Amino acid sequence: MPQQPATGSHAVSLWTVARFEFLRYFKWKHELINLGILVLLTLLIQGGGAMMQWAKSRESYEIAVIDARQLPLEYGGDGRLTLLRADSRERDARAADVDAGRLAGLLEISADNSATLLVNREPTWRNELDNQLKTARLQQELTSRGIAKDDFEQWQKSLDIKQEYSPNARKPASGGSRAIATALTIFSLMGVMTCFAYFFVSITSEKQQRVSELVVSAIPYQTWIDGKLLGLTGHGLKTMLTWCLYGWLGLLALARFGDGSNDMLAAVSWSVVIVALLFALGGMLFWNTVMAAIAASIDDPNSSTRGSLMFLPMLFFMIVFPGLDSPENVVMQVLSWLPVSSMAAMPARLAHGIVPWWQVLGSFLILIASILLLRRYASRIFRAGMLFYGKEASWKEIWQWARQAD
Amino acid sequence: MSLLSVTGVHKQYATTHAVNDVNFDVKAGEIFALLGPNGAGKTSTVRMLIGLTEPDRGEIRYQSADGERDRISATELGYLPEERGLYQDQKILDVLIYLAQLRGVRRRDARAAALPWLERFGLADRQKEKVSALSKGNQQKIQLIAALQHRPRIVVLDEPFSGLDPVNQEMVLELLRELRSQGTTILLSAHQMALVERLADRILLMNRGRRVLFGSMAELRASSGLSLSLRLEYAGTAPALDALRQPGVADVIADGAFHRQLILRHDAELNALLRDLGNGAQLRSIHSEAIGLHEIYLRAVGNPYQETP
Repeated sequence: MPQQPATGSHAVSLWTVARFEFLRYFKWKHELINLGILVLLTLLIQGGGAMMQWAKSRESYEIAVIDARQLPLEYGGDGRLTLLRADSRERDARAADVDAGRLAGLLEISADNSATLLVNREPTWRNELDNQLKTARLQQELTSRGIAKDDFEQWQKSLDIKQEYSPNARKPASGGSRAIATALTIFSLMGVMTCFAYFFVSITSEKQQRVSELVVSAIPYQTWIDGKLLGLTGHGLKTMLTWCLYGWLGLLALARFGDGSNDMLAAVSWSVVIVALLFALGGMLFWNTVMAAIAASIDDPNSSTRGSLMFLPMLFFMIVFPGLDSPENVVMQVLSWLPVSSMAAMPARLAHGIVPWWQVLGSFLILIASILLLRRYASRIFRAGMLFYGKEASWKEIWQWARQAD
Repeated sequence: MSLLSVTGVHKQYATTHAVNDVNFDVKAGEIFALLGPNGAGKTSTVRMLIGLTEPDRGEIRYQSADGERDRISATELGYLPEERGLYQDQKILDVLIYLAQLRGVRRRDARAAALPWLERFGLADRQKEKVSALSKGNQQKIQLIAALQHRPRIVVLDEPFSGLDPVNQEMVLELLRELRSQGTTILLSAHQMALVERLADRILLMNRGRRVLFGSMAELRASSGLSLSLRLEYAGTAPALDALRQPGVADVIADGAFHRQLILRHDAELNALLRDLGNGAQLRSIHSEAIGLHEIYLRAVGNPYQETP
């Protein structure tokens, strides 16, 4: 008698499908190459910037100044721009020097506060000259009015306001937490889009390559779609976390090249980050479930117009993004409750620390309930769609599939 | 003992009766063939047997190792679908391991099971290549391995010979016989009559969703009422067809100017018939053979002696 295979449990089959779907699009080699390219690009950008600074520091321009107003300019400095005092009688000689390239420019300041700059090419140092003139003019005015420069600068400073919170205030999360919550929102969109792309390719290729019948003769449809959801959502999570890692490495690099401090990460509220992560995960599951149903109804991805539905989640993110700086307005409040947008809106509100806990929990429960409900209908569409070959199902047929009993 | 029994099964798609009150049973350890023209209902029947669809009426009973079921158990099934397909962008061995795992085989065991099969089909050195790198025939072999590697109790093969050259067809034929000798039950549908005739223990012939003939080759011959096929070669122009329609001759088939084929019924009087075969023409040779599945098939499909289920 033939040997009997070990009986596979639902959990084992689920894990098998999830693992296969994840590894189908995950290649260590590609990940490392991507990381290598990113590091190389960062180094090139950093290196290019440093080279530019070095090259600029080696430039020097000499400007002759004929000053009828006697501004307190700093003559003879050894910076990039060197001002040389000149007499009006030397004007023609200095103008000839400019024309011959021996001087970068000749500045003539008239008594009526106007000035003429003579150059023989476009002056890249013009801003520096303007700043020096502005400072000198201010200095001259202050001196004429008998005002000390230090006093003037002191007056210009804003009031030092110390912000305090009332005993029952909901304190906002730190700047670092807000940055991380925002980053998670943006990266979760990238995760959703990645998942969408993989779901689209995965399901339509399985239909086109006629794999469906082989798989559903071995495992139930529900196990197949659940395994796909887990495996490909894992991919979205991986994409999101990889970008977070890149962002963190970027922050570390900034700290390394900056003043050495890294206050942003030190002050992070990890509870905010974890809740944002949970919403991101839930949002990806929600949208992936939608995509599973859409992709199963497509016969030929090259001619189907349903591919454009991939941009559906982006639409809700686009609505949420303008509200990130004022997350308590009424639109953001509504969006934070809707399962189509809560993954973006709720973390943004939460990072400002002004969301009651019951709203966070309620929104998350609605998201989970929506996923479960959607999964029920999506798996019906998936079940009918995966063996529906030859033509694209109409919306009416999809509706009928969704309504048919399990 | 019946491993699988199908009673009064009916399946309708829109206004089409794909399967119409079909009855049959498959015995443990036999090779059972489903035959019929396109649209006969073979694939619809197979899909119901393995649970891809459910019958509108009727009953399917499968004697699983752990009790009776209304479809073939997934872990006891090896399946080669009519709609062929593999993950083209994945490595051959990875695909085989995955498909075995879906049938409940542990990953480690799946790898150990797949390798000897790849060796047997001459594809062991290509195990790390992507499926898309294989020719259509070799992909067919991979599909066959996927259906057999987990040592299923029952194998359902929809058109297992399509896409294979004659050498590989013979290899598959031998393989299926070997599996039968090991106790595996095989249910196949195919169009290659000669191969099916050599291989199948019992045959179900379907047409337009209905059972037409059912049984062993001997039983099919008996049911068809046909016994012999006589192939006549004439030295000159062969007689007209009507001239050869003698009592006991079910059909006369022209094969060029010099050849005729007579299909004889059981009641044909061979001596009397042989006397009249010349009919003024010079006979050069007569070749006689038992009526084949091909003739039975052709005459049954669209024909008069349709059996009532």
